[in-house]
Amino acid sequence: MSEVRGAAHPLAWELVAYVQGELAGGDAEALETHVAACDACGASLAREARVEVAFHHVAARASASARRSSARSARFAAGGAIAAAALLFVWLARGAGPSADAMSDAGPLPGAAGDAASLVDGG
Amino acid sequence: MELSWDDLGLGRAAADAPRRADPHGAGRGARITAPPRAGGIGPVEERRLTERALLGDLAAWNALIERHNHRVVVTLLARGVRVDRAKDIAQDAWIRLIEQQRAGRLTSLVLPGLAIAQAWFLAGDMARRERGRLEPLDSAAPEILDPSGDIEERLVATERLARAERALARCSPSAQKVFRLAYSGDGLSHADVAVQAGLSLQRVRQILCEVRKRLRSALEDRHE
Repeated sequence: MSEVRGAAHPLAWELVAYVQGELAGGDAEALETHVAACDACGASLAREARVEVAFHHVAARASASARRSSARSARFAAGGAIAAAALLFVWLARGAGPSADAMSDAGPLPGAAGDAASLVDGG
Repeated sequence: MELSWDDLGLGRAAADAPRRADPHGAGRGARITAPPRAGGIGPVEERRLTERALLGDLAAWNALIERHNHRVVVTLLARGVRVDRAKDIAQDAWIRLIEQQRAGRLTSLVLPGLAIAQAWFLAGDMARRERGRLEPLDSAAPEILDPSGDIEERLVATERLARAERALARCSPSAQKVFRLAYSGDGLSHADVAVQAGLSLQRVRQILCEVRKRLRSALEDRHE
């Protein structure tokens, strides 16, 4: 049963498409019928299936790694923001920032008072 | 009472064909076709289906089978099981899982790992019986449903996977993204991947073909 006389062997890309689940129904059935009876093609399909299984693992590991990296970045960004806020606080507390008078002299931001009022007044 | 596939009213299409088979597929030269439906479901929907399946909802089981069965079959093929037998074993594995759920012995459902574990066990049991060395094992033994043992992982050595990972890391960011989408386990068809990646289907196929070539070389240690 090593060869199927008269039946065309599936092409390499068809075996790949099959294991990827991308082969159309009727063609998939034809391939299955052939492969079930042809040892050589059965072995080729098994090889492609092993590659496919491995790829799922590679993708899972890559995704996990990407998630870890993303979490690290998020932690780094959060840490940076906290550090910046702390520095700003220290800077303001030491009087290095603009004085309260300077802030009041500058007046409200354009539209800020009106907008805030309208929100509080409810129209 | 023993269940059969037909008793369960589960769609045969789920088990009989690859997961994105197109019944209107044309002949040679146009054999890869876009899926007729949205292929992938997100993790939220997967969780919802899993919860419903654990409550005995057959429609949910059907959806989960449709989504994961092909991967179970491919894992059996990778083990060297013949394709017709692999499909039968995969069906049996799902039936066993549903029986376990009905018997109240299935408290969690991690897919496709659990179905693969069940199918793997059945394949091994079948091989042992055929060799006549051992008596058939009790197929309902709950310990076989422990998903902690990653069977797929045993198929490939860690070192080879690491080589493949390094090969993937050397691909372009967009190629890596396409690969991750295609193999994310969300059941995305290549057409779904194309939509999510903002690329044409043809481009996605080209990328996957190239990435497959490189990773395969790395796995087979032809060159790095």
